[in-house]
Amino acid sequence: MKGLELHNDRLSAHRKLRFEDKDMHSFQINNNVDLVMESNGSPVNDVSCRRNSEIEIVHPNVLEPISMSNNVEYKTDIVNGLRISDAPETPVMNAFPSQGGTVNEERVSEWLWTLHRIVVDVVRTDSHLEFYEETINLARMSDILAVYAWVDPATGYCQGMSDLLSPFVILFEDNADAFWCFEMLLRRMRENFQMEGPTGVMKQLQALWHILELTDREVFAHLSHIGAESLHFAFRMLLVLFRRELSFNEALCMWE
Amino acid sequence: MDSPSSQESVGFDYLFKLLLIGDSGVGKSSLLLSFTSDSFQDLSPTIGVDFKVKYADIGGKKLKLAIWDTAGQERFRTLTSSYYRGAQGIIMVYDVTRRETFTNLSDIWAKEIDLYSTNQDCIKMLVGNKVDKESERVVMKKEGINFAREYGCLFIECSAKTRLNVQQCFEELVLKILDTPSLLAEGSKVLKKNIFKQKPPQPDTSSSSCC
Repeated sequence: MKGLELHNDRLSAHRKLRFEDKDMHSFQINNNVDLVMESNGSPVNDVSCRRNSEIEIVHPNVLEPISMSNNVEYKTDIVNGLRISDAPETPVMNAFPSQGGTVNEERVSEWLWTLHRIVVDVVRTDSHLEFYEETINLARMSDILAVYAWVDPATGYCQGMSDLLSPFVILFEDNADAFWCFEMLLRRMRENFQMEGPTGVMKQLQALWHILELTDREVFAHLSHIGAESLHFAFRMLLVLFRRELSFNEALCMWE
Repeated sequence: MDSPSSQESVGFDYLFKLLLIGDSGVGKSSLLLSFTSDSFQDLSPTIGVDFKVKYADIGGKKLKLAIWDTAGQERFRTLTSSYYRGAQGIIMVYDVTRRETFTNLSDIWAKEIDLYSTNQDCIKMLVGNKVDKESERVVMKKEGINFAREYGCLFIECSAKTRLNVQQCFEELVLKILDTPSLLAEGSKVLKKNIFKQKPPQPDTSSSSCC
């Protein structure tokens, strides 16, 4: 995949990150702050006051608006401070941006690796659909996953997310709409994708085992007999909500 | 319900459990598909663990190969690590066009094997995939050979896409397993267990009603 390029260029690029891995993938990430700002419906300067919005600025040191136009550092801090308000905090990621460049650089370099992982998976997601023959659509999917990984560092990016996002990219022309639908879905499913492992799915599998015991004794007895109590075969069904078991259209019907 | 297992038990001499590990996107699932159904297609990233069975005649034996294909991302390790248990063969795959997939074998994957494999004699195999992209190659064959020498494993380069060396890859591994008495014993032990599994309930009931 060559030249996946982000297309958010409405704000001039104060901070450009360039990441290349040989000649396999290359991206250009312009400042993605506008996606978030736009949804808050306010200019950048006002954001620090809006504590009730879905995304808040975690930046205790900024008390007054600063002229933004050429203050790159400040913008970097804003981006670093962005997170989903109810996402659990992680000590590394939410260390105060004001402590200096090292934390930021670490976070950025971690994120660049995440971008790499995202692209490796995005080009393999629903690749049988004509829609994803267009590079621009692949870029949209990776943009949204990249932004999500940035604003919810406790979850970051995990395989399976692209399966959940893909329908929204197809259904919504606007990246912001697709992002927020995806974000709402992940509020329920975030636990399935946590760093320390898919604990959420494991809990669901246990629940499923109990349900099975009550609802279908025959299947329950059979699975017990062959030693399949873990129900690992259902792991994928629950993680990506039957996206792999059903066709694209069937999955959408089921989701609805 | 009973016909498949009884059919299987007469259909093969040994059952071996093989495991595919390695970084995301190196072609583990493609390699497996290429081996089991002689085809190549674009596959989605593996979620958790996948599984395929292949019957094969190798080294004059009828074999049933249960091949487990794992997700590459580290977050699934809590799940995938349980699949090392009891494997007679472990295939470590890297992509010859991506250097980090090779270095991660020693940094991560070899350690995973030490940690989770229950089988001392388990045969390991190093596989460099995607040799069809020769112009993009960054990991040289020599480096693979050196790695294999250091870690005491078999080595082959292949292409799941062109199917070059794919059959050989699995054959070499299985031949080595067949050459290892302890692994051979395990392969047939499973078979016996399967046969017995059908029977137990009946003698129990008859003997208890007798007394």
